Amino acid sequence: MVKISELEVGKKMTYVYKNVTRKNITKYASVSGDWNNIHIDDNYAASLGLRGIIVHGCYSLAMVGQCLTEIAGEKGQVLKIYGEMRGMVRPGDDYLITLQVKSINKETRIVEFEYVEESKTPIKIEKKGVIVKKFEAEERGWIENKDIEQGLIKTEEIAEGTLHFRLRTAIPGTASIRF
Amino acid sequence: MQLTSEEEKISEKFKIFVGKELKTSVHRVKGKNLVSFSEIFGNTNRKYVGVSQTPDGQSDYSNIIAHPCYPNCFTVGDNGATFDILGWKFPPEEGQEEGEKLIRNFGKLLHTSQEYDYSKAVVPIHHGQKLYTSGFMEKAYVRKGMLWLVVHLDTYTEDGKLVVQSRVTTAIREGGY
Repeated sequence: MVKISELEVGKKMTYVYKNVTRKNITKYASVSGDWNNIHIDDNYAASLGLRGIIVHGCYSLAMVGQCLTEIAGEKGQVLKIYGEMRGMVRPGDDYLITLQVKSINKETRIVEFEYVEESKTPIKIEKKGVIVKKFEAEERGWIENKDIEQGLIKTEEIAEGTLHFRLRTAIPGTASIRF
Repeated sequence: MQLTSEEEKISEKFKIFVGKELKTSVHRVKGKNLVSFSEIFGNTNRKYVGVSQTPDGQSDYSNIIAHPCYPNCFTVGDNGATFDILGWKFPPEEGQEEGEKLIRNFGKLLHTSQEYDYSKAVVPIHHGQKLYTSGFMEKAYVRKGMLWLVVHLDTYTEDGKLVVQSRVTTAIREGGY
């Protein structure tokens, strides 16, 4: 939990949430009542040209909500969350949520943030030029030419080799918390 | 948000829906669902998932509140307040028995933004409440070939206490309106 005294205007904080699972997507559909098949059925989603299911936009927004509850802690209150659903998120993606403090009002104890939620889509792992693991993005063709042209494909060294992944904006937005 | 003169012209026919009220929807808050919702996102804070036991061994949800995005459950989706809009129609034209639907193809609908605002809320969302969500169409316009609909929603308890205000924006692609 972050204390209001630790925050200053301009401060940036990044939170990582690993691996959106199909199980959780289905659980979300069940609890929220949003049973649109593009979130549930790979074949249906493929028939619409989506090459597999996508995560509910509100699921991704709720992940930001989760991040805010962690910052607010036991006593704080999330006052406002606004987000624009810009990029599709896929099962298996990680979320990276970067918040920046825009204002702090010590009288009202309200802190305003701008944030960007990014999705990290694993593509493949290579070792010495050989692919040792393929993820759904590689197998279902989720990566498009525009992702490459826009420089969204990145690599990082992990224990199994070089991980290739796509990093793009899922939701930018604003939020506020009362401490 | 600036519209071209052509977009202004096309948007004109949708202005009859601006200000139109949605049918009030009702949502019963169940503690079990509050916990399930928070657990999906890995929440371990007892404020959201801290269920205790009653002396007779039943789950006691009285000390938990809803995850801040729990209103997803009563604003969008099959049980959401905005579902009403799918039935909205233009007034019938001469010779028509029924007017055309505002949204002709649900498959062309994109959920483009969402806002939850608790700053005027009087009470938090918790187990056992019966919530009433009412609202109206705030904006309806055509931009870049898509019909944009902005809906404002207010959610109250049975005794009229505000719990959250929401704003939902959808864009319907060409062929869907």
